[in-house]
Amino acid sequence: MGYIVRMPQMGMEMDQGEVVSWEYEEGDAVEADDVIVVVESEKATNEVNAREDGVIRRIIVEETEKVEPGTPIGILAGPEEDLAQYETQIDASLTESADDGDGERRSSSGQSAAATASATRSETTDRAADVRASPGAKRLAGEEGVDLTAVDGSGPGGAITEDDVEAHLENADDATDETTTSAASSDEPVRASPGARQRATAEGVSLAAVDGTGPGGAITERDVEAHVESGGETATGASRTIRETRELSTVQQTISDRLGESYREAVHVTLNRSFPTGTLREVKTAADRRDLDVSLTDLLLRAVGTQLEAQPEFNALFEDGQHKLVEEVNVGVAVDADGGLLTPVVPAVSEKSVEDVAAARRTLTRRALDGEASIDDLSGGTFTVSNLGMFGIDDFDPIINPPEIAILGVGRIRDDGTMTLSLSFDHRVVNGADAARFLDGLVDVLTAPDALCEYFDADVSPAPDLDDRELRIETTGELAGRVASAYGTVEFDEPEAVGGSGSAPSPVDHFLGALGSCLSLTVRQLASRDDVGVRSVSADVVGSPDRGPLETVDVRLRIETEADVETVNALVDEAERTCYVARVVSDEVPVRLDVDVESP
Amino acid sequence: MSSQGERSAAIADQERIEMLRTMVRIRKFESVIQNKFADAEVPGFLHLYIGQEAIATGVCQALEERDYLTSTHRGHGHCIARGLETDRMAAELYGKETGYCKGKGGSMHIADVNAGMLGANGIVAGGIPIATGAALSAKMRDTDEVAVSFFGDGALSEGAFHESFNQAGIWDLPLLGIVENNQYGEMTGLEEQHPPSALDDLTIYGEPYGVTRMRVDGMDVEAVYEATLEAVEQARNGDGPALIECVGYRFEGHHEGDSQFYRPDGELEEWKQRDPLLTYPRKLIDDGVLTEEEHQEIEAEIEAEIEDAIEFARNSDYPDPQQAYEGVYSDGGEQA
Ligand SMILES: Cc1ncc(C[n+]2csc(CCOP(=O)(O)OP(=O)(O)O)c2C)c(N)n1
Ligand SMILES: [Mg+2]
Repeated sequence: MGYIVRMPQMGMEMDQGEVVSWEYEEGDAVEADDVIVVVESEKATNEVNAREDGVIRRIIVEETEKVEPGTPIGILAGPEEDLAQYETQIDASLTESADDGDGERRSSSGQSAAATASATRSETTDRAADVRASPGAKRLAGEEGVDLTAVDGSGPGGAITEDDVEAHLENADDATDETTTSAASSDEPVRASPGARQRATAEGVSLAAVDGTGPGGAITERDVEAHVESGGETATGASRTIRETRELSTVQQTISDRLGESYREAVHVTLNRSFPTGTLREVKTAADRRDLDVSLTDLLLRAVGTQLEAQPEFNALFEDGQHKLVEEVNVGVAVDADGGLLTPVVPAVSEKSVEDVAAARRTLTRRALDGEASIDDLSGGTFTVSNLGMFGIDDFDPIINPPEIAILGVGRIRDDGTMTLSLSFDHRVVNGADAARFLDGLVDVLTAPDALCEYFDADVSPAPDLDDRELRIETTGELAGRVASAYGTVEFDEPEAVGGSGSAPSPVDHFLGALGSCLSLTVRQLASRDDVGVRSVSADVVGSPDRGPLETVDVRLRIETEADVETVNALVDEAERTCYVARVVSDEVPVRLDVDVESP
Repeated sequence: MSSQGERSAAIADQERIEMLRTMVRIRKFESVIQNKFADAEVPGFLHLYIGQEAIATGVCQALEERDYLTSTHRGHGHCIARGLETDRMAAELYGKETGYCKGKGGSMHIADVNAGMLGANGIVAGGIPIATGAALSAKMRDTDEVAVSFFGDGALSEGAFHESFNQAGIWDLPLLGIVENNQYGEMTGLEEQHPPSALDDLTIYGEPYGVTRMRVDGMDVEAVYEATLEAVEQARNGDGPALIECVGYRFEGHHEGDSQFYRPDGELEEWKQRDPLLTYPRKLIDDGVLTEEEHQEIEAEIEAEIEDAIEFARNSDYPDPQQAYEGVYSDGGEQA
């Protein structure tokens, strides 16, 4: 009896096995089930038992050597048995695996073990072993005797498709024919179900004349039936006439290649996390009130920068099978430009104030939209943010921008105030729990007012725990301070002349401002109550003297209106009586009111 | 749990020998495939049924040709017990075009709809809804056909099990669930995947659905056979579904290459004492149904059959790459 001892296949993922130790030497007798050799794969160590009684006649693969599963490592046979039959088998399988340049190892080494192996590979395919080609292309090349190394591949990664081989053949037939590709495509194999093919043959119908309604336009048996019933006319059913064929723009072609590659290679997983945006919007409103040109996207970008610093594994590239963590935090922002999708990169996000992030992003975005983005603008990204919220999208699964390893998709703010962040990550590099932590950390920042306010150079801290007409005054120096309200803070300071630093209006200025504002608004309110058309109301307020206690206050109201002076004076009189601020002013300090009426 | 002893007299000698042959065929087929897989001749994943032969054998012996069954990732035993041929099975495992699924399915997807074998299934509990559909069809067509679904202890915690048996219970479908309790779900012991209240009787999961519940020794082919007969008869009469727990053990790894670190020392050896491939021939010889020589002959004959099956598989061609496009689209649901 006897048999060839082979490196065992220990599960599907195994590429190689190492002979760890032979438990017997050549010439030793063993019994069935004895452990004869210990081997180790990437995943596990296994003992190989003798399948029958016999003698270890040959050790072919020595200890510490590594071979593919199925490779002969020894011969177990009867003590006197002639080894010739085993040796021919081993020789055959060794030659075959030496020829075997590509990924067909598993089946071919198995095949070689069978002395009766029947699958033969044509010479063409053998020579072309290094060429990437689809099975259909290989078959056609074999049939037509085409050398695949001479064919240009247009498939994924330059692989040769059946069409490429056809085009190659046409070219060879008629080297001057410029229209080979279209000629080739008219010959394109028709997609049809097996039943449809049978039916078409039976009915003598050419499939090329049948409209397909199956998946991807494939022709089904019913389509053939419909074709026959309509007497070959395809009047019934939907037809598709190509109106225009568009080449992809260069930018779109690049996008197509890169995202295609990313989608095929990176193991995409997307985690979604929703959170309430109340805090984020409050901070944004506070910033707006200070005329800071900062968008929600900028705040998000800045917060992402912080999170990327906290989890540097996401601020990284995956290249040549290596996970490369990057020092700088450069975040790309997807922009829907005319020519296609562009992602200008905001550099060093985590080191910038949010105002600076906003300024950089605005400049980059404008250049991208104007078609003026430079290569520098578009390179060096370590992470990408894509916001489709402005299009009303709730959430989506973004595709990673290679060689980065993750991308954040941003959805709209829903009516209930929540927003969803979608983090797509390359599961080859990082894991779900890491990604969940990333989103969690990010949401922590986006819901913490203090953390968000810290990102600003300016002071934007709102005091959201205050009600209307509730103010909190803080003095920040000898003669200066801050008034916090529900809507934000304003500063006050005394002029330098009286010992302050003159960096903000004084409390008296604030008061005079309040008086002028309130009078102006009251006039407007009354005018609208009485249907008096008023274009604008403004006021100049002067308190005197300019130091020390106020003795008089002069308010000059300028009202632009078509109404007559009498009407206006009546309005102003009433305003003076009812203005809430004026009413708290003591009689000891007279407020003198002048009115300028201007007709527009 | 019922014991074999006294009931055996009722089973015809011929049937007993047939069951032995089936068990031998499963064991030999798989032992050879196990080696071929180790030699890297067989691609894909391989889950062996070795140790559980009495279950598939006893169950299928109680079925008629018109009945249906669904199988699992560990499906070779079910196929063989159903009468599928070892040569086309081997070819399927080798990925050859002469296989049951033209070599495109492999170990976990063998199906032969003409034989009522509705498919092995890589999805744990994935066969149960399919069998439930077959049972519904049997009922709607007003036949007395029965659908049997084999599944493991691990499948009981899948939603598909509960949804199916709920439905079967409500509609009194002729559905028979065979719970193959082999003590492990992959590498997880029974106690870690089921609550204490279920450990002594896994059919408890069928209780709310009103199914008939039985529990038998899965190492005793005749006990399995008789329990199945009873459940099948009930289902044929329109009295609804049943769940039979067959308590057994898997002798090999969860899949080939499994290091089996999780097995307590001595557990395997203890169960092997009850290996049906040892005990059943002995019993038949003791009962005078079979002679020692006849037993040897059966072994030799089946060994030769398996050897031929492997040669057949090796000599068959791989499917033409073009075949990848075939069998992909439906023709619009023509019905047999
Ligand atoms: C739905 C699903 N979940 C998980 C798996 C992975 N898996 C394959 S076999 C298996 C264990 C099944 O245990 P059991 O049902 O007891 O069957 P046994 O392997 O013991 O025969 C698991 C979890 C799967 N194939 N399908
Ligand atoms: Mg189990």
